[in-house]
Amino acid sequence: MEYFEPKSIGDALSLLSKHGAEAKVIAGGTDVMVDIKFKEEPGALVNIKKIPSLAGITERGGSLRIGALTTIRDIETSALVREKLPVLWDACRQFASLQVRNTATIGGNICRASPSGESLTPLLVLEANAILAFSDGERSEPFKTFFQGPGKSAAGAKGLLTEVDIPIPPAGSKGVYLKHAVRGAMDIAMVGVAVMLTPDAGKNNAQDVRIGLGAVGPTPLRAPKTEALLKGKALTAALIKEAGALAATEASPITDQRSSAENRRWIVEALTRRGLEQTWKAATGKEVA
Amino acid sequence: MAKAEYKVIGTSPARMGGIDRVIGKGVYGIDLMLKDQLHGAILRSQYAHAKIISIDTSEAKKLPGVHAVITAEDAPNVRYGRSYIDRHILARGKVRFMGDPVAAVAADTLAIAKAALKKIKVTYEPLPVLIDAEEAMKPDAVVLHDDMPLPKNIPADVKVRNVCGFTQVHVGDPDKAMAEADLVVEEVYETKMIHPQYLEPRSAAAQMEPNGRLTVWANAQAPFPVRQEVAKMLGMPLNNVRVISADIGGGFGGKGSGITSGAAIEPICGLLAQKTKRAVMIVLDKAEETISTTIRSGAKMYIKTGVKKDGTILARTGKVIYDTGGYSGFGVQAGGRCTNMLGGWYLMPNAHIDGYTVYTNKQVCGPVRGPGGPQAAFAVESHMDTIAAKLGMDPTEFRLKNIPKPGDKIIGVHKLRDVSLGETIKVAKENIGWGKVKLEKNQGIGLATGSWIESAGPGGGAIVKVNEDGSVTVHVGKIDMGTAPRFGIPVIVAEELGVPVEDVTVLSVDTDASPWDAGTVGSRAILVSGTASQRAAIDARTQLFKIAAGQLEASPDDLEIVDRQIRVKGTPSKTVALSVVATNAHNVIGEVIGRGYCDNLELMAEEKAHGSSQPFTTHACIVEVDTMTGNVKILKYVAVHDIGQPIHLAAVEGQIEGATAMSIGQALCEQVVFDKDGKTLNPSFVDYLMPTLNMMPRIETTLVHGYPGAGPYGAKGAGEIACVPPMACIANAIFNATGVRVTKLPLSPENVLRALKEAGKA
Repeated sequence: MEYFEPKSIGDALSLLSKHGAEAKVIAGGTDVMVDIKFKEEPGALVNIKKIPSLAGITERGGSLRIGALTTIRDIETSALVREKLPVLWDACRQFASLQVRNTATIGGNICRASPSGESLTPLLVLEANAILAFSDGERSEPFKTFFQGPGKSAAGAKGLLTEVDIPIPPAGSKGVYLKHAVRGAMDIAMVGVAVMLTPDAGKNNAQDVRIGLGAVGPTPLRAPKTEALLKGKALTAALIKEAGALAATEASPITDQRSSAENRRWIVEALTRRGLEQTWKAATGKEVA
Repeated sequence: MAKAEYKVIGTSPARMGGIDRVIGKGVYGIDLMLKDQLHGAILRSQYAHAKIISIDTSEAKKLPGVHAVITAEDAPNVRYGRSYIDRHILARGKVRFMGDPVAAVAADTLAIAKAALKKIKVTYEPLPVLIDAEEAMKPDAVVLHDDMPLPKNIPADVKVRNVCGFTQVHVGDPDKAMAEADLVVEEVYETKMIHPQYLEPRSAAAQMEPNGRLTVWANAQAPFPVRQEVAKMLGMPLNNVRVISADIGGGFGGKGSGITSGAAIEPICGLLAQKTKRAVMIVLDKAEETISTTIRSGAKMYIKTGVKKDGTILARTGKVIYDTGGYSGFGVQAGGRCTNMLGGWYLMPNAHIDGYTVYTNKQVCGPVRGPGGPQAAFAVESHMDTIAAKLGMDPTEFRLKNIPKPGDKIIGVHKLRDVSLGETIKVAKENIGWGKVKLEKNQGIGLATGSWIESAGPGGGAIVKVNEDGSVTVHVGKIDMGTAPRFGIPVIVAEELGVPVEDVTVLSVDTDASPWDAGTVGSRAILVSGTASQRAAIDARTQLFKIAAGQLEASPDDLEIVDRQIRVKGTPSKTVALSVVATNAHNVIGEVIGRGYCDNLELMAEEKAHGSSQPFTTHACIVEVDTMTGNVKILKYVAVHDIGQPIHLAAVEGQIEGATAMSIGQALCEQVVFDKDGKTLNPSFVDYLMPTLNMMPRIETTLVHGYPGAGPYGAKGAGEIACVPPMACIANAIFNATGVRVTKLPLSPENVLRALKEAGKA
């Protein structure tokens, strides 16, 4: 295995061009090192940690920009993120353990493209974009199309994720991330559900509802039918119950050693209901009737 | 409690070597670095059941840096085992689980050794795989061991296969009693395989000495049985094998090689050392450990009980199917124990239980903490609450109605000396707030009791040497893994010799120097080594008094030792320092060497005459069930134990908390998961879910007193019993919260939610 520490994005991209699919990008290493130990060594390991200015959280225009090397812990402890993007903050604080959060980066979590990746469903419901660098230039890719399958993303073998661009949701919108795991900590989600709800001006109806489902498909998913069902309506217990059942049908889970597919659908239903109840109450100040 | 009688017994002095462990200075097996040491690695079967057609090691042998490649052909054709002698150190002809050792390599580096393993070509002919023990028992199942007969005690009309152990409990006339019962309740319970998951990896190192002897460094719980096994498997005279024990970072019965041949890496390592004439070390990594070393077996238990309306138990019938894995290991003993315990520890006038220990193509059963007990208690104590609910009785009242009195017998015990069971139930009720605490929606309260064996088993000795400075050196044959050797024994010796606890050093086991012992297993360290150490200390004291008597012009009978001084009782001015007497011994007998034994025949006679003084316990908890997701949170947990006289109080509480935590893990999340081919799907800590701190309640431990055990000062073993009740305790609280009985472990979110859905409650 060859090991590289490029000092610029350009150097990194030329290494990726040269080594192609043989190359593996490493940042925090919390996933890559495990793979090296238990699966196999890549031909080339490209450590991007020495590239300056790839870390940090800044507000620009109507967006928060988070550098790919920003650690999960830095996002979790950012007052800006907590205030503007509560759904992302909520996911980051439930991410693995403190030790892992201190090391793992958001770029790594995204490029791993695991369906259960904690930050992924929040980025989907926030309708964020991946800023990707290629040898022929930079482009912005919505996360909706960025994730292509387990471990597969629009960055491909030769692109480098440099930043995440997250439009700040309207004031008054509320978001939660609900994680289902056997252990509360140090555990991979069996199901993760991100819910974001924006009330109308009078706080009488849900002007916009977005639901992200994790670990229940080859990529993190949105639940468009459920979102459409709820849009523009006041959330009642009956409507939320219907939404939960509908969300379960929008998931396409598999059975593995962590959970059966059937259980994953049950949990999607439960957490969607819970997420809607919580965001409705937070956004409107009203209990679900 | 007669605490005042003792100087240090029942207190909690710092553990010998405890700080070293905490700050990383403890020397474990893996820290050993021998001169010119080679690295050993083991090739493990990729099939759960297959014929080995051929093994070609030629390419591996050619790899530069490889010093030896061995297969079964390189070892004497002898087998080992505890009940059934059914296993070779390297598979010969057949593999019987995925992880069975097939070949081994010694090389300059671990990387070369692993590369060499990949170059060994094994041709297998796959055979049908048996994962489920009940399926494996069927008369048409494929036979895993052609030359292993069924147990002789199996009734002729029972048509089974792959059974290597059979235990039958029969008391009274259960059929008649069952027919007379007002209520008969029948259930089936199932537990899954768990791995003990000690943090320190298994390791072994071996080297041939110039005089032809073989030295083995092992982190096994039983160095003497390892010595015997290594000698037998390598065809060496016993006295040419020396086993030295390193510090052990947790064993929980899983490091029982030699007793049951746990990982059996010591003979493989020894064989590599013989072949290479170099020192060789083998260290297992976590995933290899999980798939290859010994485990706590899963059991399926059919249980049926007949009771009268007033709650009097009339009869119990049942069947145990105990999965021992690819080889018999400790499965016959553990399955037998499970079968007896399915009869419960209440009054049981009529019973019939058949217990089968069954071969499957999985990891092998070891003597993991309370072998057979936690499984049986999950069934017995869950079942008790099901019956109580059907009777409309409070579960504690139902239990109290059926507890034995002193002199009564219970299944497997001919006579009880005294019985703390009722008191533990009452104290646990009080501590948890039974009937008083206000439960919110989806909260429930539960309780379960337990017991464990005491006394009969191999004996053991101790040697107590008094050095000329008055310090004391103790040899026992039990290794230290957080139990008596470095907690209780220094306290005992200090008590008897009137020295501070820190003046006592208990040595690690070296089979060339230490007294023989069967190993640190079966909650026996305090009983065996504790008793022997007390007697050895008293023997040393007698010798000291004899030497001091002349100097003090007093009779040896009138002397005592207090604070390192030997003095005449009642005349504190007539005194001589212990160090002076120990130095004077040089000119008399050389050194004061006290000897003591724990005599098993004496224990058995005592038990026969006065009954068994086995320990009892009750655990109680409050849980909250998330009925939408199935998650269970333990809000409060109390553990009430009778362990007789505690010797080292903090050690006893630590054992109770540790064993409780271990079973809470099995209750809520732990299991080894297999696919249909017998592959372990969760070998690493990423996927094998041990409980994390946030899942763990504070375990509030209370000891009840006044029930002396067979050990020194009335102590009872405390290492295993707390593993017995937690699973049923939590299941009963879930039952109380939801009305749903979960009969299969783990009580994981999915299993709980599924049970709730099936009952229409979620």
